[in-house]
Amino acid sequence: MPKSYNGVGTHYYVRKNKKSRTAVCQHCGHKAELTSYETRLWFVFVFIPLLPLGRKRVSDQCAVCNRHFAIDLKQWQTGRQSETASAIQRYREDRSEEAALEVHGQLLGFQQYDDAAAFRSTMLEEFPESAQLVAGIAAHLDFIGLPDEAAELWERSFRLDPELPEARVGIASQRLRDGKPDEARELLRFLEQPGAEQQYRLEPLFDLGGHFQQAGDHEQAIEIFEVLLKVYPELTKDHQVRTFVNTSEKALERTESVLPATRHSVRGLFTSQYSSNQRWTLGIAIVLVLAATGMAINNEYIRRHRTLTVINETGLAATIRIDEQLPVSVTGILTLTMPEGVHRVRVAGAVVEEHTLDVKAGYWERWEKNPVWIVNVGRAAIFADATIYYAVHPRAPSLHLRTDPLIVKSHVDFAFETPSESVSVSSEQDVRIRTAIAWLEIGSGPNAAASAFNMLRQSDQVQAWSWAERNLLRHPDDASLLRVLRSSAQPGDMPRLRSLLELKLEQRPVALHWHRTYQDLPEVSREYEKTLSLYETFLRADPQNSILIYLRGRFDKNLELGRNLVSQAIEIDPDFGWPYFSQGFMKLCYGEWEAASDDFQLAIGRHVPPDDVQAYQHTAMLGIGHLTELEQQYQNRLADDPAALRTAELLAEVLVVQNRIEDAEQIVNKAVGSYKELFGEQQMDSAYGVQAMMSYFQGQVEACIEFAGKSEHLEPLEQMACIESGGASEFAARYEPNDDQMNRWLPLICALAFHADGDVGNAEIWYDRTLERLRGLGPRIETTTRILSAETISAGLIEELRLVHEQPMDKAAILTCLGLRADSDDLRRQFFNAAQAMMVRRRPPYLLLQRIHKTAGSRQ
Amino acid sequence: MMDRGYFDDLVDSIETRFADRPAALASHTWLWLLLGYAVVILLTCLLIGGGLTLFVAGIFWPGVGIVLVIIGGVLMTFGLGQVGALVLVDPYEPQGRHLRDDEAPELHKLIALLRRDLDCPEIHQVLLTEDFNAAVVQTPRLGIFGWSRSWLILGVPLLLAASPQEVASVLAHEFGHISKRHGRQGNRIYQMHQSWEKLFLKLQQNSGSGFIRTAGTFVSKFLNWYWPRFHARAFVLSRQNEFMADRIAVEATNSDYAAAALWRIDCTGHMLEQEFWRNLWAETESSPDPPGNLCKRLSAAYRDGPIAENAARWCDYALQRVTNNEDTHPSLSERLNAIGISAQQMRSTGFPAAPEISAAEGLLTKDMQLIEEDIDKRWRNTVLSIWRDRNRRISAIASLPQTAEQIPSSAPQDAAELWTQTRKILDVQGLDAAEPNLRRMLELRPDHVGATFALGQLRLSHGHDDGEDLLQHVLSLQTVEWTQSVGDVLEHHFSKTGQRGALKRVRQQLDDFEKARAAAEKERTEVRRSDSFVSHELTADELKQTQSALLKQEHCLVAWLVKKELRHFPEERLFVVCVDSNTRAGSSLRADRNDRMITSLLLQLELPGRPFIVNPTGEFKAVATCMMKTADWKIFDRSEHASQSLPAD
Repeated sequence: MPKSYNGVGTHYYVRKNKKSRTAVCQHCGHKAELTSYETRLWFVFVFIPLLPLGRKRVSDQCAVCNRHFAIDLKQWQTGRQSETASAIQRYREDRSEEAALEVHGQLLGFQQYDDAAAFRSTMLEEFPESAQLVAGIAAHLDFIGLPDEAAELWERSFRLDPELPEARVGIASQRLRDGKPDEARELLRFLEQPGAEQQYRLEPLFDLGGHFQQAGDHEQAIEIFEVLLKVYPELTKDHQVRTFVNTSEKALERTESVLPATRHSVRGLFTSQYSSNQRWTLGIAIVLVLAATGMAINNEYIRRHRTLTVINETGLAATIRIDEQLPVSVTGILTLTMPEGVHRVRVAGAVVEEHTLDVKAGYWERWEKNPVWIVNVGRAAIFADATIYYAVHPRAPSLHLRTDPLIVKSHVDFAFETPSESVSVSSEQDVRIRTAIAWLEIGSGPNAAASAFNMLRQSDQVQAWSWAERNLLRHPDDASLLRVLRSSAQPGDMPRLRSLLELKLEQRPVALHWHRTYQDLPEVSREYEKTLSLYETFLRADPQNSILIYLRGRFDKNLELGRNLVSQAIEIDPDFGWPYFSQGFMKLCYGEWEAASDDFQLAIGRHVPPDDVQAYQHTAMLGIGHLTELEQQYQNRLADDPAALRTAELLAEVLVVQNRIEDAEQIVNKAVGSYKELFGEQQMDSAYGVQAMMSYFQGQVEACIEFAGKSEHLEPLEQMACIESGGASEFAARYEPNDDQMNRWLPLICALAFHADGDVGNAEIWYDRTLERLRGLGPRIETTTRILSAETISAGLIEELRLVHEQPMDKAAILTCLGLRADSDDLRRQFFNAAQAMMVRRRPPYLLLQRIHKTAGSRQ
Repeated sequence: MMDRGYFDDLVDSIETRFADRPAALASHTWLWLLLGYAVVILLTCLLIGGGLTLFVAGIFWPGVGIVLVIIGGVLMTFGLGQVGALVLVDPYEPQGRHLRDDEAPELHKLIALLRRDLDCPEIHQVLLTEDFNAAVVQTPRLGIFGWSRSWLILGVPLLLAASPQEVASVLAHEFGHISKRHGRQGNRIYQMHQSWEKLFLKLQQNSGSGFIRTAGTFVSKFLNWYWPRFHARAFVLSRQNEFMADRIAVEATNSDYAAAALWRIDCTGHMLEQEFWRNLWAETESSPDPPGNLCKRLSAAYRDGPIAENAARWCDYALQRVTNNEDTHPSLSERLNAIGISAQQMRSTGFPAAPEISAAEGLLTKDMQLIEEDIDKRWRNTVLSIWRDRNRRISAIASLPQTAEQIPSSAPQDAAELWTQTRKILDVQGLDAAEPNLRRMLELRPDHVGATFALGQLRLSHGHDDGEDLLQHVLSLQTVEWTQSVGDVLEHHFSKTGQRGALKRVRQQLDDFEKARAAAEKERTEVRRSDSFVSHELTADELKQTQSALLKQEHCLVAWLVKKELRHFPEERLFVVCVDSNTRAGSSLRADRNDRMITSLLLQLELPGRPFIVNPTGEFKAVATCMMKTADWKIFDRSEHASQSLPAD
């Protein structure tokens, strides 16, 4: 029978040669219209016929139950002819009743009802006295569902030969249909005789028994079945028979049964002792029991084999021990198996930690959920805890970085594995949420920890600081991390940073970068005497320590003494590069470009990281005017690393100095493009910085502000640019004095901006604020403070200022400011010329200073 | 499947290869048996093992585990079900009158003695039956894996016919088949062979279900290949077992008793078949119920013995019978030779007379009467229905118009009617009663195959050689209806009379017939455009008859007629008739009319061969189109025949 589910499957299409008749259906027993026809079977999809599967002959399709017989059409056509022709041939040769019956049977079998009826009439005329033939025809008619037509013939056959068994059976069936089982029994007595089963089929007795039972005559029903059980003893085990007999015995309230007691056995499953439903039920029950057992074992297995992930990114060996098990060494990532329960987890080696881990899950959750337990040794590793949204129009995943020592999550979809590219959704609005956790391996590059810190900071500042502190304590030589930590420190972070730095002051060998960072802390700078005394103490303990001498020298407010100490450090240890750097820096501040450059080279040659020197060397080279050499150097670096934004920025500045604006723009655009390809749109802060500077180089301050405004890390640049472009008032309104601000010259820039805008009043106010700020910064800057607060502006101040250790552009701003306070134009010009000499860079506040110099100059 | 000739050749080759090497044959057959077990076990293990693997994998595999566990569970349950179906088959339990432990103590003693001597397994029950036979039947508790229960079946007619010593020899022979002391491996194979045979038959009957459907084509292909080859080896081994069992019988009694037992069984068997049962069943004419004293009648028949002529003939039959491949039992003469008794020696003793004291008297003793009554009752109950039915049908025949004897030979008689009558007599009264009808039949229709066959059988049963000629003639005709039957009769006859060559020939003829018939049927049921068609070659009368039949078909407008060229049985012609109804009618009506004409024409057309009707709108339209293109083949056009009047019916 063709079957289709949701329109997919098989189906008949097109009906030809349709013939219908009303008869009793052989399947459901209803009297209904039975249709026969020729059709074609198709494989359908959404009820659309796609593949023809052959032509079929459908026979006697019942209008009530739809069941039917189906056969290949050609096979049917062939069989119809060959079998009918054979039967007819035999009949013609034989002219016997048996042959005639065979022909009749073939005609009916192939639904040639009209021809069969005609043939039937002929045969009944030809063999009018043949009870056997008449009974045979009646049986045929009964079989094809024409009981009424058959009834007449049964009667006729019975009249001809009342002893004919076939006739008696046929008449008995009629009696049963008429509700006369007693009469039927009389007719079927011969089947109850011993040995009858040798000759006849006893099915009519089953029918008889059934009818007696239905009529409520249970005594006779049992009698009939006793006969059958005697003939077929194996029926005592048949489920259907037992049910039948039990029903009648129960109705009669019999205490003793004609059936032997049932012996349940496995063998009985393969006989009719049990019904098909019972066997299926047992089979399904066995499968379910097996499945339940398997799942229970599976659940227990999961309970006993929970995974603990241990990650050690401290860089040092560590061991982990769960309860009383043997310790296991862990480097990198390690997975351990443990049963559910409360466990004591001890870490030793790189750090000493102890955790109490309660590993538990609900019974059903063991299948439904995927929990994770993670031990983060020394809190050194960073984990990305992500929530991913799958949808037709998905939103960006949310990411949370964490460094907890113990991470327990009841369920994670993707634990330490790549999340799926896609997930099926049911509709356009449907959103599927998945969680993931991954370990962000920091790596061992020189700026790896600094980058990790920056990333972590974006997620959780507090956690990032803690992580950086721990990392620095383990890897005190990580200068870039220290630098980034210092640059990210807010005023509230300073005490904490100071406490961290003080931990390493007494360490020997001297942690140079810790001391340098410590010395530059505003609070430390203000506690000048105390700090100086500290270094004196250090030097007393180790007077020939070149690092300490260098550090002492760089801190001292006495510039000459400082220079001497730096030289001393060089004498003691000519291979120590930082004094050279210090010297170079001083000379840079003096405007001694060549000398500064030489010292910087010496410093680089003595292992001072080039990145630390680059900016200053760049200034020196610009000051010298070695533009070609500088350009080539930067071009070579960009060839190796096209995404080196810092190099691109420096090269752009070199080109701008040569008035090659377009070339500079091209360089920057190319570098930004390479960077974007490499790091994507997510990490564009550095790129915005370069673009902001390029805009400034081009004199497009508004564009510079726009670029700088895209990243909070570019706030200082944004402020500067804003001030320069006439936003001094705005800046002034927002400004809060803050000793820890990196750029202490902002108030001075603001004053210059007000002056450039003609707002002398505010210019004065901000000049005073500058002095106020400088005074607050302590003794180390007192020379500069004194110079700026001079009542009388004289040319001597230029020389005094020259020897101050301030960067050239800052000096240019100071000189400009002093120049504006000069009484005479000539003096002003001297100050402005001195400022111009310092303005070898094009960085802010270059444009402001140029504007002031021009404006003030023209007024002369 | 293997045909008779191939099977015979295979059996012959095995016998030749392992002649006088029974141990080697047993080992060789054992290996074949193991092969069968290996494949069955392998397939079952794959099913169960695969299920177990998935089940276990599912337990330890998170995520998809539950799916694997369920699939594994299903496979294991199914596999175990298949094992159950193979192992826990319905145990067949033979039927008979149970001999209680307190009955026939002498018989029980004899059985116990033989069991002990021959180291046989326990006999579950001793059953007494109404058959002239003795057997040990084993039914396995575990299907093809054995663990059998044994029944001893003893026919009371045999106990009545034979002496106690002869019965002892017979029992020793039967116990020899299950003895652990003699030919244990061979005996085991013998038992397993029976179990496998039951399985194979069961699977053949239910080839669309159970193990075969589950395992698919491979299993059925394997079994179809394996079974005949194993069966052939087991068959030869079984035959050797018979010789071995005979030797055991000799050891248990002596060669004289063993030979006497064999002699008596064969000769008496013929007597019972040819005389006693015929005479007994002839009483259905006069008696509506079967007699209730079978055992007494048997005893009397044994005592009286057959007439000399019959006795001599049956003795000859007993010794002439050759060993054939339908029965594992070797011929009597071979068995006698094997135990050192010559056939002539046995022949000289003549038809075995009844013993002074029968085994029934000697072994059943005081319980004999009761047992005889029970057996009589059993037999009576078994045949009661058949007896009464035969009685009724004989009465019906008696009420028929005169039989051939009663009708003068000069009176015209319809052959068909006579044949109907003859068949009734044959059916109810047998060949002898039908002889006059048969002879009359052949006078009316000398070529009547059925009558020739029946007469041949009759003549053969009376020992006349012309019977064989008649049957050979029927066999040569290769008719669908009679060839198999006549082949069976001739096989039995040649086997009985020791004509090995003729036996082999007839088996080969039957094989060839089956193949040719199958091919012929295929030729006649497939009609294609590519077939070769020739002119019908009907006579004028035949053509006229055909045309008038076509004319009677209301909607038949035109018709073509050809004969298909056939390779197999070309004398049984196949005529292809192409008809077409009103071509101007709509296509569905035309197709419907053409279709209806098919059966109608089959009934009306009387061609000297089988007709096959095609039309241009049915499944064979390609053939019809091809025929319609040839004008010479057109035999009917209504417009031309419209003026002709229909012939009188």
